[in-house]
Amino acid sequence: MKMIEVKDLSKDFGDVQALSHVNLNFEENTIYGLLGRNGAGKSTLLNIINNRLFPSSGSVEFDGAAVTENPKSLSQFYLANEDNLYPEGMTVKNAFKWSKEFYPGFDTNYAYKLCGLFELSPKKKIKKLSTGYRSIFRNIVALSVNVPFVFLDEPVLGLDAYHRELFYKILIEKYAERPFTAVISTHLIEEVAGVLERIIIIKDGNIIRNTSAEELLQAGYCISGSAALVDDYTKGRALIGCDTLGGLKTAYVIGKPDGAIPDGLEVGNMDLQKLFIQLTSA
Amino acid sequence: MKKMLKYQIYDSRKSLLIYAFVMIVLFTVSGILAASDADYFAMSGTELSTFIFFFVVGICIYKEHWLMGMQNGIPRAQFFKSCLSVGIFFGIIGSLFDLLLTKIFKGIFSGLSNFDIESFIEMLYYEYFDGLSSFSSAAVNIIFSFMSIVTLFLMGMLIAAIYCRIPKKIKTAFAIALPISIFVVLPILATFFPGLSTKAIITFLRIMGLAEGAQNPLTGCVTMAILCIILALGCYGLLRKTEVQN
Repeated sequence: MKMIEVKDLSKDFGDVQALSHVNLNFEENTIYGLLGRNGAGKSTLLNIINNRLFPSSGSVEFDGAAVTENPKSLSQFYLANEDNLYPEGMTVKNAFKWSKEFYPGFDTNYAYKLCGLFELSPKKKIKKLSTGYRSIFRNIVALSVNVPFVFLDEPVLGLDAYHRELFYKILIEKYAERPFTAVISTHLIEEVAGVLERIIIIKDGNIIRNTSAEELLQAGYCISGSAALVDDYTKGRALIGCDTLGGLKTAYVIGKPDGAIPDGLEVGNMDLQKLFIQLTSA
Repeated sequence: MKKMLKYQIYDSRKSLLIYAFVMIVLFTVSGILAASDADYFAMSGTELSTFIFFFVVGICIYKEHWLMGMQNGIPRAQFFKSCLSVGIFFGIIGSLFDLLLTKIFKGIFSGLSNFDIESFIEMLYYEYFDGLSSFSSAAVNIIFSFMSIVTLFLMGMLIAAIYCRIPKKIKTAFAIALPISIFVVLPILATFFPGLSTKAIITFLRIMGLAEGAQNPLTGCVTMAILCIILALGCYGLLRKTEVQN
Protein backbone atom coordinates (compact mmCIF):
# COMPACT_ATOMS: atom_id res chain seq x y z
CA MET A 1 0.00 0.00 0.00
CA LYS A 2 1.30 3.44 -0.97
CA MET A 3 1.50 5.96 1.82
CA ILE A 4 3.02 9.26 2.80
CA GLU A 5 5.37 8.98 5.74
CA VAL A 6 6.23 12.08 7.70
CA LYS A 7 9.39 11.35 9.66
CA ASP A 8 10.60 13.45 12.57
CA LEU A 9 9.62 16.63 10.73
CA SER A 10 10.43 20.02 12.23
CA LYS A 11 10.09 23.48 10.77
CA ASP A 12 11.32 26.75 12.21
CA PHE A 13 10.52 30.26 11.05
CA GLY A 14 13.23 32.23 12.77
CA ASP A 15 12.58 31.87 16.48
CA VAL A 16 9.17 30.29 15.98
CA GLN A 17 8.96 26.52 15.83
CA ALA A 18 5.97 25.77 13.60
CA LEU A 19 6.42 21.98 13.66
CA SER A 20 8.28 19.92 16.19
CA HIS A 21 9.40 16.35 15.44
CA VAL A 22 6.18 15.35 13.71
CA ASN A 23 5.77 11.67 12.87
CA LEU A 24 2.70 10.41 11.05
CA ASN A 25 1.49 8.48 8.02
CA PHE A 26 -1.19 9.17 5.47
CA GLU A 27 -2.53 5.94 4.03
CA GLU A 28 -4.35 5.36 0.77
CA ASN A 29 -8.09 5.88 0.40
CA THR A 30 -8.80 7.48 3.76
CA ILE A 31 -10.35 10.78 4.74
CA TYR A 32 -8.21 12.51 7.33
CA GLY A 33 -9.07 15.51 9.42
CA LEU A 34 -6.08 17.62 10.32
CA LEU A 35 -7.44 19.66 13.18
CA GLY A 36 -5.76 22.43 15.04
CA ARG A 37 -6.24 25.97 16.18
CA ASN A 38 -5.00 28.92 14.13
CA GLY A 39 -1.22 28.83 13.93
CA ALA A 40 -1.00 25.23 15.14
CA GLY A 41 1.11 24.21 12.13
CA LYS A 42 -1.53 22.59 9.88
CA SER A 43 -0.77 24.65 6.77
CA THR A 44 2.99 24.41 7.34
CA LEU A 45 2.73 20.61 7.41
CA LEU A 46 0.70 20.52 4.20
CA ASN A 47 3.03 22.98 2.49
CA ILE A 48 6.07 20.85 3.35
CA ILE A 49 4.39 17.67 2.10
CA ASN A 50 3.63 19.48 -1.16
CA ASN A 51 7.19 20.80 -1.66
CA ARG A 52 6.22 24.45 -1.14
CA LEU A 53 8.24 24.76 2.05
CA PHE A 54 11.37 22.93 3.08
CA PRO A 55 11.64 21.17 6.42
CA SER A 56 14.24 22.40 8.91
CA SER A 57 14.85 18.75 9.76
CA GLY A 58 13.20 15.40 9.11
CA SER A 59 11.65 14.21 5.87
CA VAL A 60 8.51 13.33 3.98
CA GLU A 61 8.52 10.14 1.96
CA PHE A 62 6.07 8.71 -0.50
CA ASP A 63 6.31 5.09 -1.52
CA GLY A 64 9.76 4.98 0.08
CA ALA A 65 11.18 7.98 -1.81
CA ALA A 66 11.72 11.51 -0.54
CA VAL A 67 8.97 13.85 -1.71
CA THR A 68 11.06 17.04 -1.83
CA GLU A 69 11.69 18.02 -5.47
CA ASN A 70 10.47 14.61 -6.61
CA PRO A 71 8.28 15.01 -9.72
CA LYS A 72 6.99 11.44 -9.56
CA SER A 73 5.69 11.87 -6.01
CA LEU A 74 4.43 15.40 -6.51
CA SER A 75 2.34 14.35 -9.50
CA GLN A 76 0.35 12.16 -7.09
CA PHE A 77 -0.54 15.06 -4.78
CA TYR A 78 -2.69 18.14 -5.07
CA LEU A 79 -2.87 20.89 -2.46
CA ALA A 80 -5.74 23.36 -2.50
CA ASN A 81 -5.07 26.06 0.03
CA GLU A 82 -5.82 29.65 0.86
CA ASP A 83 -2.86 31.02 -1.14
CA ASN A 84 -3.89 31.48 -4.72
CA LEU A 85 -0.92 30.35 -6.79
CA TYR A 86 -2.81 30.56 -10.09
CA PRO A 87 -2.12 33.72 -12.10
CA GLU A 88 -4.59 36.39 -10.99
CA GLY A 89 -5.64 37.15 -14.54
CA MET A 90 -6.41 33.52 -15.37
CA THR A 91 -10.03 32.51 -15.89
CA VAL A 92 -11.59 29.51 -14.19
CA LYS A 93 -11.95 27.88 -17.62
CA ASN A 94 -8.24 28.33 -18.38
CA ALA A 95 -7.30 27.02 -14.95
CA PHE A 96 -9.24 23.84 -15.79
CA LYS A 97 -7.50 23.64 -19.17
CA TRP A 98 -4.05 23.87 -17.60
CA SER A 99 -4.96 21.55 -14.74
CA LYS A 100 -5.71 18.96 -17.43
CA GLU A 101 -2.25 19.58 -18.93
CA PHE A 102 -0.46 19.20 -15.60
CA TYR A 103 -2.67 16.43 -14.23
CA PRO A 104 -3.76 14.20 -17.13
CA GLY A 105 -6.39 12.58 -14.89
CA PHE A 106 -8.20 15.89 -14.46
CA ASP A 107 -11.87 15.38 -15.31
CA THR A 108 -12.88 18.55 -17.16
CA ASN A 109 -16.52 17.50 -17.59
CA TYR A 110 -16.83 16.80 -13.88
CA ALA A 111 -15.26 20.19 -13.09
CA TYR A 112 -17.82 21.95 -15.31
CA LYS A 113 -20.60 19.91 -13.69
CA LEU A 114 -19.43 21.10 -10.26
CA CYS A 115 -19.30 24.67 -11.57
CA GLY A 116 -22.97 24.31 -12.42
CA LEU A 117 -23.82 22.92 -8.99
CA PHE A 118 -21.93 25.66 -7.18
CA GLU A 119 -23.08 28.35 -9.65
CA LEU A 120 -19.53 29.33 -10.51
CA SER A 121 -19.11 30.91 -13.93
CA PRO A 122 -16.10 29.34 -15.73
CA LYS A 123 -15.62 32.57 -17.66
CA LYS A 124 -14.81 34.54 -14.51
CA LYS A 125 -11.26 35.58 -13.71
CA ILE A 126 -9.88 34.08 -10.51
CA LYS A 127 -9.00 37.53 -9.15
CA LYS A 128 -12.62 38.63 -9.55
CA LEU A 129 -13.93 35.79 -7.37
CA SER A 130 -15.09 36.45 -3.84
CA THR A 131 -13.40 34.62 -0.94
CA GLY A 132 -16.13 32.00 -0.94
CA TYR A 133 -16.00 31.43 -4.67
CA ARG A 134 -12.21 31.22 -4.58
CA SER A 135 -12.64 28.37 -2.09
CA ILE A 136 -15.24 26.80 -4.39
CA PHE A 137 -12.89 27.12 -7.37
CA ARG A 138 -10.02 25.47 -5.45
CA ASN A 139 -12.29 22.70 -4.20
CA ILE A 140 -13.59 22.01 -7.70
CA VAL A 141 -10.05 21.64 -9.06
CA ALA A 142 -9.08 19.47 -6.08
CA LEU A 143 -12.07 17.17 -6.57
CA SER A 144 -11.47 16.91 -10.32
CA VAL A 145 -7.70 16.25 -10.47
CA ASN A 146 -8.09 12.56 -9.68
CA VAL A 147 -4.78 12.08 -7.91
CA PRO A 148 -4.40 9.63 -5.02
CA PHE A 149 -3.69 12.30 -2.39
CA VAL A 150 -5.66 15.54 -2.15
CA PHE A 151 -4.93 18.08 0.56
CA LEU A 152 -7.66 20.59 1.35
CA ASP A 153 -6.49 23.41 3.57
CA GLU A 154 -9.50 25.27 5.01
CA PRO A 155 -11.78 24.17 2.14
CA VAL A 156 -14.91 25.87 3.46
CA LEU A 157 -13.32 29.27 4.06
CA GLY A 158 -15.92 31.92 3.23
CA LEU A 159 -18.54 29.39 2.11
CA ASP A 160 -22.16 29.82 3.14
CA ALA A 161 -24.03 26.99 4.89
CA TYR A 162 -25.60 25.72 1.65
CA HIS A 163 -22.27 25.52 -0.17
CA ARG A 164 -20.53 23.95 2.83
CA GLU A 165 -23.11 21.18 2.97
CA LEU A 166 -22.95 20.73 -0.80
CA PHE A 167 -19.16 20.49 -0.68
CA TYR A 168 -19.16 17.76 1.98
CA LYS A 169 -21.91 15.88 0.11
CA ILE A 170 -19.92 15.98 -3.14
CA LEU A 171 -16.73 14.99 -1.33
CA ILE A 172 -18.41 11.88 0.09
CA GLU A 173 -19.99 11.00 -3.27
CA LYS A 174 -16.67 11.40 -5.03
CA TYR A 175 -14.90 9.34 -2.39
CA ALA A 176 -17.50 6.57 -2.66
CA GLU A 177 -17.27 6.55 -6.44
CA ARG A 178 -13.49 6.77 -6.73
CA PRO A 179 -11.68 6.44 -3.39
CA PHE A 180 -8.70 8.67 -2.72
CA THR A 181 -6.99 10.14 0.31
CA ALA A 182 -8.34 13.51 1.37
CA VAL A 183 -6.59 15.42 4.11
CA ILE A 184 -8.93 18.14 5.32
CA SER A 185 -7.26 20.78 7.42
CA THR A 186 -9.73 22.92 9.29
CA HIS A 187 -10.62 24.49 12.59
CA LEU A 188 -14.36 24.33 11.82
CA ILE A 189 -14.94 20.92 13.30
CA GLU A 190 -18.64 20.44 13.83
CA GLU A 191 -19.57 20.11 10.15
CA VAL A 192 -16.60 18.04 9.05
CA ALA A 193 -16.81 15.55 11.95
CA GLY A 194 -19.19 13.22 10.14
CA VAL A 195 -16.94 12.98 7.08
CA LEU A 196 -13.68 12.05 8.78
CA GLU A 197 -12.29 8.55 9.15
CA ARG A 198 -9.11 9.46 10.95
CA ILE A 199 -8.36 12.51 13.03
CA ILE A 200 -5.02 14.14 13.62
CA ILE A 201 -4.97 16.91 16.18
CA ILE A 202 -2.05 19.29 16.07
CA LYS A 203 -1.19 21.73 18.81
CA ASP A 204 1.76 24.14 18.81
CA GLY A 205 3.48 22.09 16.11
CA ASN A 206 3.07 18.77 17.92
CA ILE A 207 0.73 15.92 17.05
CA ILE A 208 -1.31 15.32 20.18
CA ARG A 209 -3.82 12.82 18.76
CA ASN A 210 -3.64 10.56 15.73
CA THR A 211 -6.45 8.06 15.83
CA SER A 212 -9.62 6.91 14.10
CA ALA A 213 -12.60 9.21 14.46
CA GLU A 214 -14.56 6.40 16.08
CA GLU A 215 -11.85 5.68 18.63
CA LEU A 216 -11.46 9.35 19.46
CA LEU A 217 -15.17 9.84 20.02
CA GLN A 218 -15.31 6.69 22.12
CA ALA A 219 -12.62 8.09 24.34
CA GLY A 220 -15.30 9.96 26.21
CA TYR A 221 -18.98 10.64 26.61
CA CYS A 222 -21.24 13.43 27.67
CA ILE A 223 -23.66 13.33 30.52
CA SER A 224 -26.50 15.79 30.97
CA GLY A 225 -29.19 16.52 33.49
CA SER A 226 -29.76 18.85 36.41
CA ALA A 227 -26.63 20.67 37.53
CA ALA A 228 -26.61 19.11 40.98
CA LEU A 229 -26.93 15.55 39.65
CA VAL A 230 -24.26 16.12 36.99
CA ASP A 231 -21.86 17.62 39.55
CA ASP A 232 -22.46 14.70 41.82
CA TYR A 233 -21.87 12.18 39.02
CA THR A 234 -18.71 13.79 37.69
CA LYS A 235 -16.98 13.95 41.07
CA GLY A 236 -13.72 12.02 40.80
CA ARG A 237 -14.10 11.52 37.03
CA ALA A 238 -11.85 13.02 34.35
CA LEU A 239 -13.85 15.97 33.18
CA ILE A 240 -12.91 17.85 30.02
CA GLY A 241 -15.57 20.55 30.06
CA CYS A 242 -19.09 21.60 30.93
CA ASP A 243 -21.96 23.58 29.41
CA THR A 244 -24.56 25.07 31.71
CA LEU A 245 -27.92 26.44 30.63
CA GLY A 246 -30.18 27.54 33.45
CA GLY A 247 -30.41 24.61 35.83
CA LEU A 248 -29.31 22.10 33.21
CA LYS A 249 -25.76 21.01 32.78
CA THR A 250 -23.86 18.91 30.25
CA ALA A 251 -20.49 17.52 31.24
CA TYR A 252 -17.91 15.97 28.91
CA VAL A 253 -16.15 13.10 30.57
CA ILE A 254 -13.11 11.07 29.51
CA GLY A 255 -13.52 7.32 29.71
CA LYS A 256 -16.53 5.02 29.45
CA PRO A 257 -19.67 5.22 31.58
CA ASP A 258 -19.15 2.81 34.47
CA GLY A 259 -21.91 1.32 36.57
CA ALA A 260 -25.50 2.38 36.46
CA ILE A 261 -26.37 5.88 35.38
CA PRO A 262 -28.40 7.64 38.08
CA ASP A 263 -32.00 8.50 37.27
CA GLY A 264 -32.37 11.97 35.81
CA LEU A 265 -29.09 11.80 33.88
CA GLU A 266 -28.68 11.05 30.20
CA VAL A 267 -25.60 9.69 28.45
CA GLY A 268 -24.69 10.89 24.98
CA ASN A 269 -21.82 10.64 22.50
CA MET A 270 -18.79 12.81 22.94
CA ASP A 271 -18.87 15.98 20.88
CA LEU A 272 -15.76 16.24 18.69
CA GLN A 273 -15.67 19.99 18.88
CA LYS A 274 -15.81 19.95 22.67
CA LEU A 275 -13.08 17.35 22.79
CA PHE A 276 -11.02 19.37 20.35
CA ILE A 277 -11.42 22.59 22.34
CA GLN A 278 -10.44 20.79 25.53
CA LEU A 279 -7.43 19.09 23.95
CA THR A 280 -6.13 22.20 22.28
CA SER A 281 -6.84 24.80 24.94
CA ALA A 282 -3.80 26.21 26.65
CA MET B 1 9.32 19.86 -17.90
CA LYS B 2 7.43 19.83 -21.23
CA LYS B 3 4.16 20.77 -19.53
CA MET B 4 5.75 23.77 -17.83
CA LEU B 5 7.51 24.82 -21.03
CA LYS B 6 4.25 24.59 -22.96
CA TYR B 7 2.53 26.73 -20.33
CA GLN B 8 5.32 29.32 -20.25
CA ILE B 9 5.39 29.73 -24.02
CA TYR B 10 1.61 29.79 -24.27
CA ASP B 11 1.31 32.36 -21.50
CA SER B 12 3.93 34.64 -23.10
CA ARG B 13 2.44 34.53 -26.58
CA LYS B 14 0.18 37.55 -26.07
CA SER B 15 2.99 39.88 -24.95
CA LEU B 16 5.24 38.62 -27.77
CA LEU B 17 2.54 39.26 -30.36
CA ILE B 18 1.81 42.73 -28.98
CA TYR B 19 5.51 43.60 -29.06
CA ALA B 20 5.85 42.34 -32.64
CA PHE B 21 2.74 44.25 -33.66
CA VAL B 22 4.00 47.51 -32.09
CA MET B 23 7.38 47.17 -33.83
CA ILE B 24 5.76 46.46 -37.21
CA VAL B 25 3.44 49.45 -36.78
CA LEU B 26 6.39 51.68 -35.80
CA PHE B 27 8.40 50.65 -38.86
CA THR B 28 5.39 51.03 -41.15
CA VAL B 29 4.40 54.45 -39.80
CA SER B 30 8.01 55.69 -39.96
CA GLY B 31 8.31 54.48 -43.54
CA ILE B 32 5.04 56.09 -44.57
CA LEU B 33 6.01 59.37 -42.89
CA ALA B 34 9.38 59.28 -44.61
CA ALA B 35 7.67 58.70 -47.95
CA SER B 36 5.29 61.60 -47.48
CA ASP B 37 7.77 64.02 -45.93
CA ALA B 38 11.20 65.28 -46.80
CA ASP B 39 12.40 64.98 -43.19
CA TYR B 40 14.97 62.36 -42.28
CA PHE B 41 13.69 59.26 -40.45
CA ALA B 42 15.83 56.55 -38.84
CA MET B 43 14.67 53.27 -37.34
CA SER B 44 18.12 52.07 -36.39
CA GLY B 45 19.14 50.01 -33.40
CA THR B 46 15.64 48.69 -32.69
CA GLU B 47 17.17 45.40 -31.50
CA LEU B 48 18.00 47.22 -28.29
CA SER B 49 14.29 47.52 -27.53
CA THR B 50 13.92 43.77 -28.17
CA PHE B 51 16.72 43.08 -25.66
CA ILE B 52 15.06 45.33 -23.06
CA PHE B 53 11.68 43.75 -23.80
CA PHE B 54 12.99 40.26 -23.01
CA PHE B 55 14.73 41.57 -19.88
CA VAL B 56 11.34 42.84 -18.67
CA VAL B 57 9.68 39.57 -19.70
CA GLY B 58 12.25 37.71 -17.56
CA ILE B 59 11.36 39.82 -14.54
CA CYS B 60 7.62 39.62 -15.11
CA ILE B 61 7.00 35.95 -15.81
CA TYR B 62 9.36 34.41 -13.27
CA LYS B 63 7.28 34.56 -10.08
CA GLU B 64 3.90 33.99 -11.70
CA HIS B 65 5.09 30.95 -13.65
CA TRP B 66 6.97 29.53 -10.68
CA LEU B 67 3.87 29.74 -8.48
CA MET B 68 1.78 28.15 -11.23
CA GLY B 69 4.35 25.34 -11.35
CA MET B 70 4.26 24.97 -7.57
CA GLN B 71 0.46 24.71 -7.64
CA ASN B 72 0.71 21.94 -10.21
CA GLY B 73 3.42 19.80 -8.65
CA ILE B 74 6.35 21.02 -10.76
CA PRO B 75 9.64 20.76 -8.84
CA ARG B 76 11.96 23.75 -8.84
CA ALA B 77 14.61 21.96 -10.93
CA GLN B 78 12.07 21.25 -13.69
CA PHE B 79 10.86 24.83 -13.59
CA PHE B 80 14.42 26.05 -13.93
CA LYS B 81 15.07 23.81 -16.96
CA SER B 82 11.84 25.06 -18.48
CA CYS B 83 12.94 28.69 -17.93
CA LEU B 84 16.26 28.03 -19.66
CA SER B 85 14.41 26.47 -22.59
CA VAL B 86 12.05 29.47 -22.71
CA GLY B 87 15.09 31.78 -22.75
CA ILE B 88 16.54 29.87 -25.69
CA PHE B 89 13.17 29.94 -27.46
CA PHE B 90 12.89 33.70 -26.92
CA GLY B 91 16.47 34.12 -28.14
CA ILE B 92 15.69 32.29 -31.37
CA ILE B 93 12.42 34.00 -32.19
CA GLY B 94 13.64 37.43 -30.99
CA SER B 95 16.80 37.37 -33.08
CA LEU B 96 14.98 36.07 -36.17
CA PHE B 97 12.24 38.66 -35.75
CA ASP B 98 14.75 41.51 -35.49
CA LEU B 99 16.63 40.35 -38.55
CA LEU B 100 13.50 39.84 -40.63
CA LEU B 101 12.07 43.16 -39.51
CA THR B 102 15.12 45.15 -40.57
CA LYS B 103 15.61 43.19 -43.81
CA ILE B 104 11.96 43.35 -44.89
CA PHE B 105 11.48 47.03 -44.13
CA LYS B 106 14.85 47.87 -45.64
CA GLY B 107 13.63 46.15 -48.79
CA ILE B 108 10.20 47.81 -48.77
CA PHE B 109 11.55 51.32 -48.26
CA SER B 110 14.79 50.90 -50.17
CA GLY B 111 13.82 53.67 -52.57
CA LEU B 112 13.69 56.30 -49.85
CA SER B 113 16.87 58.27 -49.29
CA ASN B 114 15.53 59.92 -46.12
CA PHE B 115 14.66 56.66 -44.34
CA ASP B 116 17.44 54.73 -42.67
CA ILE B 117 17.28 51.31 -41.08
CA GLU B 118 20.47 50.12 -39.48
CA SER B 119 21.07 47.11 -37.27
CA PHE B 120 22.16 47.89 -33.70
CA ILE B 121 24.94 45.33 -33.86
CA GLU B 122 26.20 46.64 -37.18
CA MET B 123 26.27 50.15 -35.76
CA LEU B 124 28.13 48.97 -32.67
CA TYR B 125 30.68 46.81 -34.49
CA TYR B 126 30.91 48.96 -37.66
CA GLU B 127 34.56 48.02 -38.30
CA TYR B 128 33.79 44.29 -38.18
CA PHE B 129 30.83 44.47 -40.54
CA ASP B 130 32.65 46.61 -43.08
CA GLY B 131 33.03 44.45 -46.16
CA LEU B 132 31.37 41.38 -44.61
CA SER B 133 29.09 39.36 -46.92
CA SER B 134 25.37 39.76 -46.32
CA PHE B 135 25.07 36.07 -45.31
CA SER B 136 27.87 36.32 -42.72
CA SER B 137 26.50 39.61 -41.54
CA ALA B 138 23.02 38.08 -41.00
CA ALA B 139 24.52 35.08 -39.19
CA VAL B 140 26.56 37.27 -36.82
CA ASN B 141 23.52 39.49 -36.25
CA ILE B 142 21.43 36.46 -35.27
CA ILE B 143 24.10 34.99 -32.98
CA PHE B 144 24.73 38.29 -31.21
CA SER B 145 20.99 39.07 -30.85
CA PHE B 146 20.36 35.56 -29.57
CA MET B 147 23.08 35.84 -26.93
CA SER B 148 21.94 39.31 -25.89
CA ILE B 149 18.32 38.23 -25.49
CA VAL B 150 19.21 35.10 -23.49
CA THR B 151 21.60 37.08 -21.26
CA LEU B 152 19.11 39.83 -20.55
CA PHE B 153 16.26 37.37 -20.05
CA LEU B 154 18.37 35.50 -17.48
CA MET B 155 19.35 38.80 -15.86
CA GLY B 156 15.66 39.66 -15.50
CA MET B 157 15.00 36.23 -14.06
CA LEU B 158 17.86 36.60 -11.58
CA ILE B 159 16.47 39.92 -10.34
CA ALA B 160 13.03 38.32 -9.94
CA ALA B 161 14.61 35.31 -8.19
CA ILE B 162 16.39 37.59 -5.71
CA TYR B 163 13.13 39.43 -5.16
CA CYS B 164 11.32 36.14 -4.43
CA ARG B 165 13.97 35.03 -1.95
CA ILE B 166 14.46 38.16 0.12
CA PRO B 167 12.27 38.69 3.20
CA LYS B 168 9.09 40.72 2.75
CA LYS B 169 10.45 43.55 4.91
CA ILE B 170 13.31 44.39 2.57
CA LYS B 171 11.52 43.84 -0.75
CA THR B 172 10.69 47.52 -1.19
CA ALA B 173 14.21 48.52 -0.17
CA PHE B 174 15.61 46.12 -2.79
CA ALA B 175 13.28 47.44 -5.50
CA ILE B 176 14.44 50.99 -4.77
CA ALA B 177 18.10 50.20 -4.14
CA LEU B 178 18.69 48.24 -7.36
CA PRO B 179 18.01 51.01 -9.92
CA ILE B 180 19.54 53.67 -7.62
CA SER B 181 22.74 51.62 -7.31
CA ILE B 182 23.01 51.13 -11.06
CA PHE B 183 21.98 54.56 -12.31
CA VAL B 184 23.00 56.89 -9.47
CA VAL B 185 25.56 55.35 -7.10
CA LEU B 186 27.68 53.70 -9.78
CA PRO B 187 28.11 56.88 -11.93
CA ILE B 188 28.90 58.90 -8.78
CA LEU B 189 31.51 56.34 -7.74
CA ALA B 190 32.96 56.52 -11.25
CA THR B 191 33.59 60.25 -10.83
CA PHE B 192 35.39 59.64 -7.52
CA PHE B 193 37.55 56.88 -8.95
CA PRO B 194 38.21 57.96 -12.54
CA GLY B 195 41.19 55.66 -12.98
CA LEU B 196 39.22 52.64 -11.87
CA SER B 197 36.19 53.48 -13.96
CA THR B 198 38.31 54.00 -17.08
CA LYS B 199 39.92 50.63 -16.45
CA ALA B 200 36.49 49.05 -16.05
CA ILE B 201 35.23 50.61 -19.28
CA ILE B 202 38.31 49.48 -21.21
CA THR B 203 37.93 45.95 -19.82
CA PHE B 204 34.24 45.95 -20.74
CA LEU B 205 35.00 47.10 -24.29
CA ARG B 206 37.69 44.44 -24.60
CA ILE B 207 35.60 41.51 -23.34
CA MET B 208 32.68 42.62 -25.49
CA GLY B 209 34.94 42.77 -28.55
CA LEU B 210 34.32 46.49 -28.89
CA ALA B 211 37.88 47.78 -28.56
CA GLU B 212 38.84 50.14 -31.36
CA GLY B 213 40.83 48.35 -34.04
CA ALA B 214 39.96 44.89 -32.70
CA GLN B 215 36.19 44.78 -33.01
CA ASN B 216 34.61 41.35 -32.96
CA PRO B 217 31.01 40.67 -31.94
CA LEU B 218 31.81 36.99 -31.50
CA THR B 219 34.13 37.91 -28.59
CA GLY B 220 31.11 39.63 -27.08
CA CYS B 221 29.08 36.47 -27.67
CA VAL B 222 31.62 34.35 -25.80
CA THR B 223 31.56 36.83 -22.91
CA MET B 224 27.76 36.74 -22.85
CA ALA B 225 27.81 32.94 -22.94
CA ILE B 226 30.02 32.95 -19.82
CA LEU B 227 27.74 35.55 -18.22
CA CYS B 228 24.71 33.37 -19.06
CA ILE B 229 26.27 30.44 -17.20
CA ILE B 230 26.97 32.66 -14.17
CA LEU B 231 23.44 34.12 -14.25
CA ALA B 232 21.85 30.69 -14.65
CA LEU B 233 23.88 29.27 -11.75
CA GLY B 234 22.95 32.26 -9.60
CA CYS B 235 19.31 31.92 -10.52
CA TYR B 236 19.21 28.19 -9.78
CA GLY B 237 21.12 28.70 -6.54
CA LEU B 238 18.39 31.07 -5.40
CA LEU B 239 15.48 29.08 -6.80
CA ARG B 240 16.39 25.71 -5.31
CA LYS B 241 15.80 26.99 -1.79
CA THR B 242 12.95 29.41 -2.46
CA GLU B 243 9.83 28.73 -0.44
CA VAL B 244 6.29 29.82 -1.26
CA GLN B 245 5.72 32.86 0.94
CA ASN B 246 2.26 33.71 2.21
